[in-house]
Amino acid sequence: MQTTTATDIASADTETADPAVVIEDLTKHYPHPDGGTFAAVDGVSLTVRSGEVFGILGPNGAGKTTTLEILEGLTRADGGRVRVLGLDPQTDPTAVQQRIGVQLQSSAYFEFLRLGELLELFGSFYPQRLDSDELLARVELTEKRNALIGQLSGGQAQRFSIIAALVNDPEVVFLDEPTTGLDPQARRSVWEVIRGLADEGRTVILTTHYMEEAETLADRVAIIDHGKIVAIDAPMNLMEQHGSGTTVSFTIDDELAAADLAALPSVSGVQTRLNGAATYELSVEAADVVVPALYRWAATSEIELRGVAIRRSTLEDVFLNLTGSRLRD
Amino acid sequence: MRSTFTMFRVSLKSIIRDRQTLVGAMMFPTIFLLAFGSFDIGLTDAGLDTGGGGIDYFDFVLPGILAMASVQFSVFWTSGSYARMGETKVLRRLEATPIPQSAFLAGQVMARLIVVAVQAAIVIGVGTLLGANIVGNPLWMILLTVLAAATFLSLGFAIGAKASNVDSANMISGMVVMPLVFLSGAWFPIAGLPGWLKSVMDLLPLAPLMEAMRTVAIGGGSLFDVGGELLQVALWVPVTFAIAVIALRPRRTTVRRLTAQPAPATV
Repeated sequence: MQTTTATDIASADTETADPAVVIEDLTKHYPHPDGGTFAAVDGVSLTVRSGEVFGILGPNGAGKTTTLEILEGLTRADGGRVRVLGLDPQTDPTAVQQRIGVQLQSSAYFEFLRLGELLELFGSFYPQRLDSDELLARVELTEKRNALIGQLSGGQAQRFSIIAALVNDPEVVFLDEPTTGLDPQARRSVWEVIRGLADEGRTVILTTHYMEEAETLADRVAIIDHGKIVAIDAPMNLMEQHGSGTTVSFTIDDELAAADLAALPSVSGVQTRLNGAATYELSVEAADVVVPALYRWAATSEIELRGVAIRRSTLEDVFLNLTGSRLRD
Repeated sequence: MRSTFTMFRVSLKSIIRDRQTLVGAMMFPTIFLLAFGSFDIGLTDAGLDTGGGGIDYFDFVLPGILAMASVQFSVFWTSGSYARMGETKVLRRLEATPIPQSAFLAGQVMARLIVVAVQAAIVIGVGTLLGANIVGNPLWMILLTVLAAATFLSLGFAIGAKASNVDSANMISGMVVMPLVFLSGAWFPIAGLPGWLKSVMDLLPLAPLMEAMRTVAIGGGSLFDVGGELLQVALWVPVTFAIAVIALRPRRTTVRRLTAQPAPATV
């Protein structure tokens, strides 16, 4: 009947350097609608460190959910080896499930139960549990304690399903597309909650097909496509190694400035788009060198620069460069 | 234990808050009571030990209506409700927690037994108002109904677990419930059934339940007079519970996610 506070986790976790999750050569096949099978997960290997926020990024059908469900003890793997907190979810799902928190991509809760009752019910499944009022308070759902799940907005329901994953004070939290279908504001509030989990020292493994989400939240990102890992690294490193560098874009009236612009220092490429005026996109090595030079050139040529924007490479570019296809939504 | 008790408590709340279904479960047998209560059929050769003489058909059929209502609730509604939990992924979320199937099932069954008891009390009350003559103690009838319902609830959960959706759960329940109720003696005496069929029905829990209930209701017997039947009904409870626990085991090698089929690689 003991109720632990969230802060206990942080101190308990730092002393163990064992990885939270180890996946080696994981495979999972599903029957193909046209006969035969296809590999939903095809030889995935990765390690998630304790206390890390790990993002699994990829389009729909890339194998993200299947990988997560195998770790959660919900789906059996066909091959390979998985360990969660040193335990095998294939042979000992209960032991794993005691210590993890799970938010499923599309999970429902008993429709006639209030939020407080649902947390109490889920809490009763575990020997240790967090206080349901505290949990509701941390995602600003205190006044919804007596609401039914069907009376919540999309963002509120999503926040609730995150705290429902926290009732047992888990060491590892799995979040499967926690912000899919949410408006930008609701998405940001879910991000705050996820950051809070990381601050408490919990390991967070989240899947997403939003580049921005992975960049903002994840310490490291695995890019996965067609059941295979394409790259794993910190978002910054991925963007440096596989990104498209930095671009400076702006619009002027002069349609014949490409040669002049290519001559500016640190510019490695110029793209022109004519649409009444001319929009130029400069691929640059160092924006802080190009931008002052660009303004000096504009001043001497008496050209008005409009809509100047500096854009660094994003994970979207990384994905595009690595897989040759755009991230499908 | 704690999870069983919490599951019991919240399941009962869920059932009570689902007003429409609850009212339906209570009204359903009342319709039959009204229908049969207005007939005036004498039954002279019911194959029953009534101390000689005929009995009123309404007195005979009342325990049948009672049993049918509880079986209807226990198998039909329960299997549908469990299949729905599967369809809406409520179960998937539970599978990700360490709650044992037995704890889930025990809590859910206990909550529904309360509903069965209330339903039985209503049937007996309304039946008496409509002129039924119950000789024995009605409490024994409620007790027998609840005991048998424990078996039928397990059956309902097992069907719900194996059915792939709510529609097929209803279909399977119908195929199981209808013959069982008809051949158990709920509507007419089964003394005239072919020998082998009678033996089969006597092994299953519903016929002994009908036998025991009529001994109480018509013959005025006490629980001691129906000890054999009581034991037979009781023995089915752990058997069907165990079957249901196995049926409820999550299918971890699911093929439910065919939508996850990736587009063919274009390199």
